[in-house]
Amino acid sequence: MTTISIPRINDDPRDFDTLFSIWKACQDPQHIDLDFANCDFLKQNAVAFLGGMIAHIKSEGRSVFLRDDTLSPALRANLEQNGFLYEMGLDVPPWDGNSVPYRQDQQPDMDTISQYLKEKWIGRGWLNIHPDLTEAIVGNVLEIYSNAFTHGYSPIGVYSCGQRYPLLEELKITAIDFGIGIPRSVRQYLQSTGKPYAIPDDMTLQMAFREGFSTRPGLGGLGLKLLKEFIHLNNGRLDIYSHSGHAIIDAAGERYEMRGTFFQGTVVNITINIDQKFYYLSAESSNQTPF
Amino acid sequence: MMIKVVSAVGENCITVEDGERVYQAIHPELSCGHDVTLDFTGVSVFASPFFNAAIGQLLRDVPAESLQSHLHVVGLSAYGNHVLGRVIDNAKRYYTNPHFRDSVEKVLAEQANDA
Repeated sequence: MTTISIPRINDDPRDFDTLFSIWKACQDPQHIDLDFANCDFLKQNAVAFLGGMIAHIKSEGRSVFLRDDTLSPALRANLEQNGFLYEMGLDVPPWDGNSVPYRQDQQPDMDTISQYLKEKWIGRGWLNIHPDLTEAIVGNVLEIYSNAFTHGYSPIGVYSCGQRYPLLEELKITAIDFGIGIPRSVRQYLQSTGKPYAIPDDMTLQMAFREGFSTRPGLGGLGLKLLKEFIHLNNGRLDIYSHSGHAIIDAAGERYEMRGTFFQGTVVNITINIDQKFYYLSAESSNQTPF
Repeated sequence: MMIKVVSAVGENCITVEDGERVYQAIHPELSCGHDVTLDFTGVSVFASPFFNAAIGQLLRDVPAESLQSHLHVVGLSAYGNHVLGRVIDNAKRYYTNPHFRDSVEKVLAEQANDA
């Protein structure tokens, strides 16, 4: 039995390093105990990641035990509210608060995911915006889910959780797949087309954000670009971690960097600003087809 | 031909698979120079994979001028119109410039310049 101690985890880059170190420590043991005695808070990214990690371990025929007796009252309330403990098998149904429910999607049921984003995230009344804009934001975020299912090849699906932070005027959502990751997908594509493919992980992320670039045959390569434009317009922040690459999109621009940790899949962490002065649509309605 | 997209696909136009079904329905008509109307009234959520498959790939073998004359898109929300416009621009570049996808050379060149 290997015991892994889970600390407090926020969503700064060093917190993702912590998550990926936990991931690494959980790769080999047959029996794992997750101990929360040193943890007083888990942000939405940590909840989604730990949920997916537990599913991944179980999918390999190994066992993992969540030590709910080590949960502090505050952390227990946090994990009950967002439905994480319910999904882990504890008989405590979630309730509405500032949490956006923890969610596991094994199949690309985009209608259900769209409904989740509209009813449990952006459409909760936390933002007093026009329905057209709500739908535009949902469309942008659904591009991430579509990418995860189309390009990720995650054997256990996509894991999500969100949170509203009223004092920070932020609304967050994290979506994680446990597939092959963007760098491997890009390198496989480059190799298949005879191009140089021995390039660092951060550069593969940079390529993925380039308009028109797609690792799939045929048209594509717009989803990340559209999401990036939305994040810029609305003063939000988008972080993508895949392998050792880290892409950061925010009001200051876009940056790509290497980190010292590794995660085989892809983590997308989206922060949007609740302050409504940042919200507008960049296009006017028109029935003129722009050919 | 008139297609009410909300009936054919639903309120969410997101996936390649849904877009491909629309494409299979309208491509033969447009190839013959017939008029097609896509009515998006009632559709609320759009994503680029749907439009790539449904409309973008028409530009592979149907000239833009012909699509302008014969494909009528109505009832599209502001954001849907924005995404469709980007998809069409992307498709035009993709089908007219065989090197459009070769981003790798550009990225490598930028990295070399930054070094």
